[in-house]
Amino acid sequence: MKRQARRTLARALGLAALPFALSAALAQPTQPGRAPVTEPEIRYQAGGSPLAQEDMHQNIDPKAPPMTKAEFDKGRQIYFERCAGCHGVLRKGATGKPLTPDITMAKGTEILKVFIKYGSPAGMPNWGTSGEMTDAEVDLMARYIQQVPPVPPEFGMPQMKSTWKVVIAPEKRPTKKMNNYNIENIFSTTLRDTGEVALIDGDTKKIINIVKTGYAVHISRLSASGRYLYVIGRDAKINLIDLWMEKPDNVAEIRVGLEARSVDTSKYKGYQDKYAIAGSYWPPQYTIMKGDTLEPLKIMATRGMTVGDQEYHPEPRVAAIVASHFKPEFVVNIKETGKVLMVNYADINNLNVTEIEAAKYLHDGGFDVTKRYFLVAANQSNKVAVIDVKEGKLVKLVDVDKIPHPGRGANFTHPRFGTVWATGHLGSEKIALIGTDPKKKDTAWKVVQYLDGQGGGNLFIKTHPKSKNLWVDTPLNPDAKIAQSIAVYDISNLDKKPETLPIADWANLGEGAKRVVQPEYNKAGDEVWFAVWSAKNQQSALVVVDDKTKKLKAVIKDPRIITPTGHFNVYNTTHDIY
Amino acid sequence: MNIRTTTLALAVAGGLLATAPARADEALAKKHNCLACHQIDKKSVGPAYKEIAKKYKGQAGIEAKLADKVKKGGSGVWGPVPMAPNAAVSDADLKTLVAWILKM
Ligand code: HEC
Ligand code: HEC
Repeated sequence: MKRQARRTLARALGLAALPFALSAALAQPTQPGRAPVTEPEIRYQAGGSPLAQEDMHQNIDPKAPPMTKAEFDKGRQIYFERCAGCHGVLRKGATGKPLTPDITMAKGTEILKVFIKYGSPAGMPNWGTSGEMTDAEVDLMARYIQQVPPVPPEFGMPQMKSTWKVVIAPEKRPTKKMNNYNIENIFSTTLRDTGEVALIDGDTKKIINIVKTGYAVHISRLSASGRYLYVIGRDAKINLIDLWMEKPDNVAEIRVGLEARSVDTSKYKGYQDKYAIAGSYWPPQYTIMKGDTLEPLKIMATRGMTVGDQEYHPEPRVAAIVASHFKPEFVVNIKETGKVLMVNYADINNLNVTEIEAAKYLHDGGFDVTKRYFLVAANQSNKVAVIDVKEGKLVKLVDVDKIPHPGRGANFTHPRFGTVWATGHLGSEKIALIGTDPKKKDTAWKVVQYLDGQGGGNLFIKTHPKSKNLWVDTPLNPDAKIAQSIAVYDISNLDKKPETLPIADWANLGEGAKRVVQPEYNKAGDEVWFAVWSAKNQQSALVVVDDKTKKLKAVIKDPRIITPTGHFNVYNTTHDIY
Repeated sequence: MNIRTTTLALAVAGGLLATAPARADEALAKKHNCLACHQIDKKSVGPAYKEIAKKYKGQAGIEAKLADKVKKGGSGVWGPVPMAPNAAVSDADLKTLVAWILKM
């Protein structure tokens, strides 16, 4: 049967462990009229949280339906693996509605079961009818969400200090580059399920080292000098890698919480390599650290009032963070409150934070070509907020299509509209091009053109100042053919349809579900790298394409390359070239 | 919230006279959790009330049938999703609710 086949596929992919989510994802709508929420959104939002493994305090409410401790623990695990991404750790609601006991107990077990089993057209996945959950599990979850939400532990300075380790102290490190690698062209590739990054020599395409990291590294970032590489796992573990060592390797590590997504480093003149900052999902906070040791110096909570309705939110997660080139400031984006914080690190004991009101729920974003403006997706509002990092002000909220997901976006010069910044969407197939030249009154901070992509489920979009191509992936699209290929647009003629390249076929990996993720340029801007991400027990690969000819240049295969989900080129990441 | 907009839409559509009783009935539907699964004019987990009204309008004896169905719950008429039983709702309230739905 169809449903059976999907389940098998889900298992084969080990979906419960996928980053952007899970099998709900693969579950096709079984009811007509389920259109409003697209599968890619569900895939993205329903990602598992590392909190599933944490022990938590639990209050017992005598009015809630009874559960044994074993049932409660199972419910908690399922909740954090499948529901928390949309309904929040404390069940106060985000993409999904609040599920606090006052609301759930008023509905009662039977009604809750119907929602969980059959889903709803407004975006609740159909966990029962998709085959993801048995009737017994549906019943368990209906009772679980009537209990008082268990609260995960806080993670302050003592906890951070206890996880902080300096493997090689700064004075024992090399004083100059000790290897012959062209370190500006190294790629840091996330190996998701093994909890590692592969450092790959972009010139020779050989693996330099595989470094043990946190689980499912979300991003890699570079210090301003390009010497230090910072990677952060979903479990909030940060590793600091010194690229000057004979064999570049880990020199320090720390955990800054229980779940996290973002890290960056001070880039302003005079502060190069001085500070690092990381943002956590749980606890909701950001942490400023010493750049060369990760010693935690300052922790700031993000709990507080939301933009607009000004209501208290107990868990505003920290989304993207970038470093200003104009001031000694980090740009910290808070998801649930919809605020952008300009955190000035000139004096961290007397920290100056400018709070900019944007819109809910801030997610990821990137600079325009001048690096003066930061464009960040507010994905539930279907807007892109434009922040002037020089003035510390909101410039504009730009309406875009459904659930923008820019990654860092892509900058290029449009033949008719001048400089633009581009974003794809999780909720639609469109690519929005936003004018970024403030002198052009007609086009500045407006969508000047929408391109039609292959389909929804786009995560990353990329070009390079030396290139005439715009590369768009669609790894979360339910159609395998689309998830396994890439669309390339000709920037000099954007009215022309894109070419599609069957990148996964080029990797020649045989059977198995795979997705093509995250185009990334080499330093010279003449090669584009892709991750072809298969299940943990299947072969994956990296595919390198010649930017000019759009022909296959190399396939990197190695038994150690397991579940690659993305990569960052040292030079382009250091200099925010995208 | 949806419910608020719906009330407003109803008030406008029904004109002033219909507003007060419609509000009362809607409050009853809310009290008995009908609106957890139903919306007035949009399909949710259950069919839109307006669709239900359209389907059954004018059929003899339909009020009793629907009241019984709501009380016992069931599926198959509108699709595979079942309505949970509403055994705790009094017969008088069920009658009011069904009449309210059929008037839409
Ligand atoms: C992709 C995001 C997403 C995920 C993942 C998700 N939900 Fe939901 N859920 C929603 C949305 C959106 C709604 C609101 C639907 C509506 O208004 O019809 C919702 C509604 C609900 C409701 C009904 C609440 C009400 O007041 O009407 C329940 C119960 C629920 N979800 C439970 C769960 C459980 C249990 C899980 C995990 C097994 C889960 N959800 C996972 C998005 C999600
Ligand atoms: C758990 C979700 C849920 C709740 C709560 C709920 N319904 Fe329903 N309702 C449904 C579904 C699903 C159907 C479609 C059943 C079918 O296809 O046979 C339905 C169908 C109906 C119908 C049409 C029945 C038919 O046979 O055509 C009426 C009338 C109705 N509901 C009224 C109510 C009233 C009044 C309440 C509150 C007392 C209520 N519902 C509460 C889910 C619900």
